[in-house]
Amino acid sequence: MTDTTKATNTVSTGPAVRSQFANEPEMRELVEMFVSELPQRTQALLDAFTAQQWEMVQRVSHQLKGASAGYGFPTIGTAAGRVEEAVKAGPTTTADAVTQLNDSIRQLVSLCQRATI
Amino acid sequence: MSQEPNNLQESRPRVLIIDDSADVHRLVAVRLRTEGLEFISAFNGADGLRMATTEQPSLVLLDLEMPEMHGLSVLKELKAAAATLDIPVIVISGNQLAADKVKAFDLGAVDYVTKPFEMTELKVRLRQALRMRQLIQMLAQKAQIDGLTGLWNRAFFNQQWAIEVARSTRHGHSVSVAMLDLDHFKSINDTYGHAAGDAVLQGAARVLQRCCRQQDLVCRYGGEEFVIVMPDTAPVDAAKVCERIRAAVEAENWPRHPERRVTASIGICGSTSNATINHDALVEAADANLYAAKHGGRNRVVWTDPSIKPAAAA
Repeated sequence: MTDTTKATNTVSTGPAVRSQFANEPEMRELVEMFVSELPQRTQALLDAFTAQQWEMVQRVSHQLKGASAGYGFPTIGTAAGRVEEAVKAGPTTTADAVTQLNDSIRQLVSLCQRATI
Repeated sequence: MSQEPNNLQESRPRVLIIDDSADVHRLVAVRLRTEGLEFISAFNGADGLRMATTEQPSLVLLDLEMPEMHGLSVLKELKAAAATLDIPVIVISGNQLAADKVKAFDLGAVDYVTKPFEMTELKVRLRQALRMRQLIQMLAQKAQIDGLTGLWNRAFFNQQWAIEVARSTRHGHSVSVAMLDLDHFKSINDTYGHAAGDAVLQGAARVLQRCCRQQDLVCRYGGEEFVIVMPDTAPVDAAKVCERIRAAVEAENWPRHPERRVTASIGICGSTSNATINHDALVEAADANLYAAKHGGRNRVVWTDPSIKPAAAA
């Protein structure tokens, strides 16, 4: 468990994730705000995961799922949806479940770290 | 000018968003900016309920998964309270569960949108819900309007009069009711035809509305009989308004029959005390005074105030 959570803390590399609404003037400010707040959200998600606060994990991922597409990041929304599903399924029941949750969180965090307007 | 039936086209419908996620509030406000709506925000169910009651929005956008109070509980309470019962609610939810949809519709939601939602989709659903609300209000109001004169009808009077008397009693305010009947109306119909008779009813309705004050409710009681609810008005003051009406009806010119004046008899009753009064009894007393006005020679106003005791006056 310690090993896997460590993995999620590494800064990910890969192509930038751009907002679909980057070219819409009315959305620019909102998207910028969303991107600037993402590190706090991912940190909250990781902290909750480490502390095994599953309700918090679910809450943060649920909100990201609902909001991301609205800011033009549907891939983040989908990834957050997978985290929500995994945590709803019961992360502590089997080793597989923990691994699955960890993987989905890692994917989500990676996408969030690469998000840009 | 009395309170006429409302123009239902709202200039800027107010939409209450109840969602614990700030994202939804921000996104909806920006994406629906061109819809000409006013958005107000609540971030939890309890605040949402309070704001729905005090702000009386035209529509509520309600999230389901919220900490503390679940959206379905909020919906249930909105639909249980008379003050918020008629406000359409669109549920916005992160889950696609058929069971939740069924529950939401069962509890009285008008629509269900799943997150993440297409803003254009939300936009058209919102428009649709507002349009539907407007039509329902129009129908409800239509059922309370007299088709010939455009005044409130008798059903509306019955409802409002009971409310008005209860309110006055509670606050210790005075309240009056005036019954007005056009004199010898049958002979107008018989002499000039029913079209002329209708024109007189419509003309009289206009005179009544013109002569009454902002807070008065002018209703057609039936036939050639009208009734006016006068809140915060003692019978003695109601009599002054009615004298103005009587004179104005008499002075009115009728293009179809310039040679024939139309007059009205008016009976008034009301209360100036906060003693419990029976609203039906007040109407009966006003009707009795109308009868007295007819017998006294028509084209006159007769009023009584049951709270003025003859013994006290002596």
